[in-house]
Amino acid sequence: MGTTLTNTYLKKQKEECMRKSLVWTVILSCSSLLVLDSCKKNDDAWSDSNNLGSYKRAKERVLWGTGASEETVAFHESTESSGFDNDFIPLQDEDLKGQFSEVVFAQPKDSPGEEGSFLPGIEGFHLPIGALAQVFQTVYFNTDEYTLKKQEHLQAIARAAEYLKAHPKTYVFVTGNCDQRGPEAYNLALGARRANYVRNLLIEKGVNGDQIHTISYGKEKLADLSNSPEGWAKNRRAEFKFYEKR
Amino acid sequence: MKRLTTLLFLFIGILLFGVDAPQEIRVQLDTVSPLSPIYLSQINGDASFPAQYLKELEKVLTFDFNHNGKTKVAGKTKEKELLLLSTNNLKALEVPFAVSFSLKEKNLSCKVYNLIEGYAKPFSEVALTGALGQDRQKLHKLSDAIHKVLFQEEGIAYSRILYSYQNKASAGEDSWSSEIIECDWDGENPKTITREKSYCVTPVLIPKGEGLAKDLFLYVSYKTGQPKIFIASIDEGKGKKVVDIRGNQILPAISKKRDKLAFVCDAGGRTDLFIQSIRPEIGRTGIPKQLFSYPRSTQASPTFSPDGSKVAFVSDKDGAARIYWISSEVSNKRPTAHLITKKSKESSCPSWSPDGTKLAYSAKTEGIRQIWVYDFAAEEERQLTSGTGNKENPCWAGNSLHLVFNSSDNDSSDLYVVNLNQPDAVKITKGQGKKHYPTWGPR
Repeated sequence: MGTTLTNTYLKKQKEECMRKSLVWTVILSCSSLLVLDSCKKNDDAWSDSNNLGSYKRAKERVLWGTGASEETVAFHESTESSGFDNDFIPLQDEDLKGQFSEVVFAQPKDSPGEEGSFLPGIEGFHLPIGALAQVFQTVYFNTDEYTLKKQEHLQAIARAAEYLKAHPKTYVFVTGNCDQRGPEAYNLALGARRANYVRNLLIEKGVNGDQIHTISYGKEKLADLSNSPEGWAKNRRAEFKFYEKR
Repeated sequence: MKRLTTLLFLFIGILLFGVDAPQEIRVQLDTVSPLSPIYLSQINGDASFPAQYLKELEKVLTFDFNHNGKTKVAGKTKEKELLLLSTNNLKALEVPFAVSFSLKEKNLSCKVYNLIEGYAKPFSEVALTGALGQDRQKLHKLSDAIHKVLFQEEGIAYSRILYSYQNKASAGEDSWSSEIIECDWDGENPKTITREKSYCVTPVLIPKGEGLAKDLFLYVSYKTGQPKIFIASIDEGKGKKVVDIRGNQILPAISKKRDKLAFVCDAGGRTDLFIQSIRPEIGRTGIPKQLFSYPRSTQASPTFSPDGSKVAFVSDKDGAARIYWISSEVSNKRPTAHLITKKSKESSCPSWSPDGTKLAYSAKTEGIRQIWVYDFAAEEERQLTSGTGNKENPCWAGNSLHLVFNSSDNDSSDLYVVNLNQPDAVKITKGQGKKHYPTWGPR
């Protein structure tokens, strides 16, 4: 009886031991796989980054502080632009690539008014007058919205698009504005979104994106100071300023 | 009948053991004031300066000790002045702290009495000049020294606030101008530090570098049309462009280690968060990286955690504008955004406290934007301000106790200072025009 009990105990011990070994083997295997997988992901990340134009891997390491040597570019006294083809490293999420979300277009490389630019700064751009005022009409947004709902505003965008396509040497600034009720810092961002929405619409209609620049004024440049629904509606707007290059 | 009996028993049961009766809603209020009374003597002494000038100096000290979040200035009486002069029976002052000031040949000396611990500490003389602006700053420095002795913590009276100032708050091209102003923490000594004759907004003081003499700040200027981020020293005010990226660059924030710049930019066609490696005295390192973007959404107002590992920001990715935090570690994939403001609606302009424990922000509360504070440890959102005026753009002082913000009514906007122990905010700016986007830092 005693021997049977001892044998049973030893058998159980052996089984327990095997089970533990099996558990440890599984844990170690999973850990190894995870480590290998994360290495692969990192490699993928760097590989994707390497495909972003002329920037070298070393330069990216420097950018995020992991490189041994650092390449620092002095701040400009002037407002000169470097003219890089790729001036930022974008995220690679699928939902940002356009086919799953709204259509967006990158800003033109040229920054008007800066050294090296073939365009003047905003002071060289003018509000449309005369017949052009009928082409480049101010469009208005609903509260806290960045898309245009009214048919008349969408038609105004279509008219502006036709003009810009027919006049490839005409350049415009689309300015995005908000009313005085929203938070001012957030409105700086919302103004940019409104201006970019109009720009994206124009590009979708066939206008060359390099003809259209945007400025966000948020609620810093009100058209109507009256604190009324009518005044607020006049402030939630996108305006055009244009420049004809000879 | 059986059914009726059952219902009757059920009703009696509920009455005896069941549902609690409606209770009164009780709000627990903190009735113990965190402020200790302090007695500040008149500035007694010779006739180095006119009496009116000395009154002005006393006002400076009174402001410092009335709004430091630790003390409240006790009213002056002749009896108390005599008690303090004689230094006999100081306990009769009935305050835990007292300071006596005396003036001799333009030198101000003072002695601090801690009547709880029973010691007195004299301070070295402060040489006054008679120029109110300079003397104000000397007194703020003295206030901080006294604060350090009494509370073993650095004061914030000798600090500076920067803000945007639009002189004419009217519509139209000709009046569209705004410069960056520097002032003391009580709003005095305002000094224009940019002279761009353009529209400058959202200044950000760059934390002081060890052994570096220049005080630097970032700001956004519209001088060429599109808003771009510039860096300048407070003494020179001449801006240099910081980031070389297309489009609108707005709402800059810098890490405490002064090595990372976060900002909002529409280079890719959306308003996204970006991060750029910089060395403020030298230049930028590498190119900017898109840190957070989300389809059909607007990102705004980044602020770094003190260790620089996280960024809190505003996004409307889930509908209304709310505040989230993400890791500032860069990757080629969007980092997970963690929602902070679950209770507050229309939240904006977050500011991470220097000690990392709190986040101040503005949220719409019963139709008015108020300042709220989120406590990371307790995971609670607490309303700090109340009353009229939309309050926005809070920024912490170095002690993580005080905040400066702007409050606007119709076309005017002024700066206010508040601290967590004294929720009654004090207005620090005066005069016409729009004063907004304040930032707070040491001298």
